[in-house]
Amino acid sequence: MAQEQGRTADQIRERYGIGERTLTDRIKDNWVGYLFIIPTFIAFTGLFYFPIARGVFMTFTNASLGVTGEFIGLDNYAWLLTNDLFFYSFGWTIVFVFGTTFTQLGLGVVAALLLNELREVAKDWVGVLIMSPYFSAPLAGGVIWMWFLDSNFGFVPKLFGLFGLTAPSFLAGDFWPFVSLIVAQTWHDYAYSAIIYAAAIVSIPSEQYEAAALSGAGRLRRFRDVTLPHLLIPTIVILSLRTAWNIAEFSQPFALTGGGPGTQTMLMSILTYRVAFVNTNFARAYTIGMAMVVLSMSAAVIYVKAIDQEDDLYV
Amino acid sequence: MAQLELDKVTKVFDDSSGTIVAVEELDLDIDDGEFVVFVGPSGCGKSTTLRMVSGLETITDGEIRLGGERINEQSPKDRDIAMVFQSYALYPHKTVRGNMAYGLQLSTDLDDQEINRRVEEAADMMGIEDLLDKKPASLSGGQQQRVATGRAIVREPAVFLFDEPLSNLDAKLRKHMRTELARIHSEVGITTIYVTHDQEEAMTMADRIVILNDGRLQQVGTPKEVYYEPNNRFVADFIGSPSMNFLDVKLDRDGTGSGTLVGDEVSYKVSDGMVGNLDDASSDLVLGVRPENIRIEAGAPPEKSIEATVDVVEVIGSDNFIYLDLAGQEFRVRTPSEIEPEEDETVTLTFDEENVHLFDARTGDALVHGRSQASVSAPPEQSDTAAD
Repeated sequence: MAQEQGRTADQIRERYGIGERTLTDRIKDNWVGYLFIIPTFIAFTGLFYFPIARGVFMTFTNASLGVTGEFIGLDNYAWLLTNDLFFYSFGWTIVFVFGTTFTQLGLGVVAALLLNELREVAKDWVGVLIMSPYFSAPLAGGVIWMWFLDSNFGFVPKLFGLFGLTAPSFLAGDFWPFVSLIVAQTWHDYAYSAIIYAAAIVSIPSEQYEAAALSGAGRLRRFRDVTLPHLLIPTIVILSLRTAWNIAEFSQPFALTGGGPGTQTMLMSILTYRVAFVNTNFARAYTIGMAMVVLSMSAAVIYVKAIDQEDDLYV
Repeated sequence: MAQLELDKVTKVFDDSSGTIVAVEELDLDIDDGEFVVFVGPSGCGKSTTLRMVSGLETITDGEIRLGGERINEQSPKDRDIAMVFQSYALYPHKTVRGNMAYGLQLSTDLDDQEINRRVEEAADMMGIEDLLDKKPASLSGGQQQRVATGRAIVREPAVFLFDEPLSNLDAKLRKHMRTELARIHSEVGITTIYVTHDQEEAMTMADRIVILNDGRLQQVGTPKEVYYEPNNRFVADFIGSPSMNFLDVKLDRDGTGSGTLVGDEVSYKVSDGMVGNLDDASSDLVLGVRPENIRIEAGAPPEKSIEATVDVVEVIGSDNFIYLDLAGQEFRVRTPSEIEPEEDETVTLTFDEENVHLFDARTGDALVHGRSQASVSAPPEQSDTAAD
């Protein structure tokens, strides 16, 4: 505006006496506002920022259960970088997280499309059915899948038996435990992406489909050229959040395999738990936690970069 | 390029919320290259008809023929029809160029170079050459409207459909785009159906106007026909702004064949030529006269005049709209701007017999138009000066 009127911002400030205001001036003007944010500020500092700072500090000590510990520099990080199990679980966590997250995305789109095709009443019921795993406790989910897959008493091996087949051992061996964990985790949380995708699909204007149909686009083309582009932004949102949550996921994998057999399906979250509560070495557990934070933040940075580019697409 | 025929086309919506006849037995022939405007109040079935022509809505009964060939069962993409939506329906993730090229890429075998050439040609026609590489979100409403129209033009379809394309623009831009669209139609000469609820838009753009109400056809005709010889009270009321005045009257005949129209505080003498052919049974009539045909004239002959009290005077610059109270009813008069009576003043109003329309009070059908003997296409000079 200033340029349009042929005046600089300074000239306008001078003309109307808008000077630089001091901090005390601002507090005097807005003291009620500050008063209202003080409780939140205190709670966040005490319960959130302080524990984080304390935890980061703890990674430089040899604190364990009940012992404050002494400052030992970067020893914990040195231990981490020379620990084979850590590297193994780091790699497996990445496989687990991306395997789960992308399967959840795919299933979510399919579920959302299905929901969108249904009539009102059916939509509500099928919606509840689709959402129910997401609202069940992850620990309960782990138990359910255990009853489903266990070689001795599980439902699926019994079903195989009915047809005279032998089921592979889903929770043991070189391959199946990984698949089982990813499938179980996908089952638990795919509804989250379904909810977000369904909302996005509903908000696509029907005229865009009609215009595409008149332009000669068949059903598949309309999905590709109208639906998919509208799902890009929701995809980025779901990816960021689900990645962070899947990295932190503990209960269901713990209930299902507990990182076993042996240490074969050791996720970083389970490793953190074992180092903290089995070996009672809290400082090292927190150091593994730092690695998880780094992992989710790197993923978040990549996604946010992608959002930036996506914004360019729409302007 | 093609002729479009609608033969007893009917659309019934039948679902849990009820059974509604949206369009009932609509017959209409649209000539090749003609610009036809569907007009009517909301819910009259005009958009439904358009959607049936485009194939976005199924047809319950009747037949639609394009170039003599039945298209009821054809899917939208096989009909060679392009549509401009009220919301424009531009693809947000595609550039203007991408939006305009999309239909050509899908429905023709043209190579990229040829598509590009046609897109640029259409962009040139719409004055949007500079916007080709922008995304719709960064365009103004008027620019988006141009892109939407350009996207339809570039396909050179057999029929253009416009569904209230200008409703989202401000008044000034709307009038500008109106002329622009009329110009484009005369350039490309493609058969066009244009839906609007704005009678002024219909009057200014149409070769022929189709007036619909409650899913039924009220009248089809040139703008002048529907203005000077409305089929019924609905058309008379809908076309023209401010709308026509209606007075409930009875016809008192005298021995010579002429008579007097008598109503509440109204008495107006009419000639033999006007009412001579009227059936004697039809003595309950409605007199209709347009605000622009009424003059405020102190010395008017008493048998041809009405007295009324001024309620409100609206100044619009070129004219004044005067709202009067006549036996408790609103009566509208449009006068030149220098004639501006005081509020609460009682004035004498007069109008010529040739501007009088008589309707059957019961059915609403038009019985006599004062000008029905005169040529509609060339209205007498005298009344024009009276209206100006």
